[in-house]
Amino acid sequence: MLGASLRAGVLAAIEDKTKNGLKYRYEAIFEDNQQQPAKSAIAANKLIASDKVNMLLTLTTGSGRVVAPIAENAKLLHVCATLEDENAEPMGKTSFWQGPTLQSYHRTLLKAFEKRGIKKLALLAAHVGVACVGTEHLADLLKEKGVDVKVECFNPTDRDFRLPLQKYIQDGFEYFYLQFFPPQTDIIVRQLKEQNILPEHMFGSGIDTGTDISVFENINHVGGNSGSPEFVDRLMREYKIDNVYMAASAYDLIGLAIDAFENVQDIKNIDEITAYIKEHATRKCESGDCKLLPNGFIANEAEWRTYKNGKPVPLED
Amino acid sequence: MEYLINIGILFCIYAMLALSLNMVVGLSGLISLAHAAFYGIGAYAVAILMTSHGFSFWSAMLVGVLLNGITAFLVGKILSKFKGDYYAIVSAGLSVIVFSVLLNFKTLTKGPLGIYGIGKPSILGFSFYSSGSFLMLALVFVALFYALFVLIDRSSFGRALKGLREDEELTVFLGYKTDKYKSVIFTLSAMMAGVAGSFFASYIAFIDPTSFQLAEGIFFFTMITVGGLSSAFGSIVGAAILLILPESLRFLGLPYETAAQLQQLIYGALLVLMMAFRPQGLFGKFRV
Repeated sequence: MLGASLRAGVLAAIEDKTKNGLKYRYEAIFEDNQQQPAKSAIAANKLIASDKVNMLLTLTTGSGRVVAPIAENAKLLHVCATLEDENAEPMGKTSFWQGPTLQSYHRTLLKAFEKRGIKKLALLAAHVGVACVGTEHLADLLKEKGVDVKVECFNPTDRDFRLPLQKYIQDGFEYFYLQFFPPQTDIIVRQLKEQNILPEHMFGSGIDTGTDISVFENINHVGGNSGSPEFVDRLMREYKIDNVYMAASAYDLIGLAIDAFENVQDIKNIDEITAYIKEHATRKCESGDCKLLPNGFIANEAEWRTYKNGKPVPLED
Repeated sequence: MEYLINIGILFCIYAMLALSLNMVVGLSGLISLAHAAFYGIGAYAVAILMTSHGFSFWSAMLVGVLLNGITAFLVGKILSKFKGDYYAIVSAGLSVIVFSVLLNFKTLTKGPLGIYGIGKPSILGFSFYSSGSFLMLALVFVALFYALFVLIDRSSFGRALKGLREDEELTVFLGYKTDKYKSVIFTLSAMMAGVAGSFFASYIAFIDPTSFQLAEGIFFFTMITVGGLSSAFGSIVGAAILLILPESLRFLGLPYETAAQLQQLIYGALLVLMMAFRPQGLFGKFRV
């Protein structure tokens, strides 16, 4: 699910970069880590030792933190598509990560809530990675602005949210902010709809990870930046994917890495490769304006958007 | 080679867990699903003490093992009042409690964000930083655990445990304090799981609560069921099969879109066949 969009971004980047002929031939090998630290380590070691890869790409900070020391030890470039706090500690000397920052998510969301005059909001999140922690931080910011908020983080294995949702509705909550991952994303949105909550009253982060995008029609959200409408169209059509979560980040990271490999003297010299990336990471990206921070995070400003006809559409507010 | 070494390290960690769990389940017949909890406590003790308090790996591991010992002793007092399915349910409850603490006690465990930058062990200035040296160290502990298992298995203590497993009422009638035996073996097993957790944290260098869920406890239980209950060698074989089998499926060249699902399907089917035709496990001396 999440991997399919990342894979599309990787393959699109290789296709685009190699269109006009390059010094080297690029091939992507995919391994499933099932989002487990132990499996991430094994998969990374297999790719390095057996497939002799020149670089590694991971999705989410958790996997990235496991793979970063392995890549550093093997003197290999490692890139990670993720959402992170802009002040997070560096991953490693040979690692770079890219995505919208937590701070930009919150800026975008606060602006959107303020514009709609929302004074009471339920914030529901999965108790995974940065999702719950970030939501609690967002709640603090909303409280400072005088919004009546209630936060609840659900176990990642929870599937039936109907009783807690009914309680929120009974307590007068009309607006819901959601931060989940599949299949919870689809399930909670469906269950909110069952309770007659309008899509316009649901706001999300990670909505774009859903498995059936038609469920999210008209839901406004902030997310892993999708790229231009043309890019989204192309990826969905050519790679037959139904969501583009982090695809643009993967596209940008792989593109940058290919540029580095093509331009350095020695593709085995990790110092030369990281120096090239540091020099060129701040640029115009498919996922927005990319800016390299001192901790190796290539930050984008989060994008506010909705789903229209099954596709992410940027919104002005 | 590096890949095989890394597989070897994980195999050692799983072998330690399988050997320690098999003492409780195989030798004593107590169906414990709490092993993931003790594995987690050991891992978090090392992670927290090494990254935030400057402890060495060994002193952090010692604290983790002692903490596991105390926790298991106290919990074991409660658990020893139960048997059979009830023992399993109560032990599963412990696993859920520990997972919830790891997830929610954010000031200590950093919750779902996890802890990273966990260091490697060293002895007298020699660091086990390379995978090869780490594997050697892990193998030493597997050998120690194996020897301890065999020692207990052949001792009068082990015979009392087996008596408890076969017929608890008769064992009590013969004058054995079965509650004490249950508590001791449970505590010992938990301390050993803490060692495995310490190795895991140091090897992976990043831990979060997802590695210590109840499902992991069931996975460890599957290892000893496949390898064979009450058998030290079976524990080793079970750990090897359950680690190497899914890994070997990576090399089958399955189509990307279906690879993960097919791997799990093949894996599940093999386990079903195994249980249908050899329910006591490959080298088992006892079946639940």
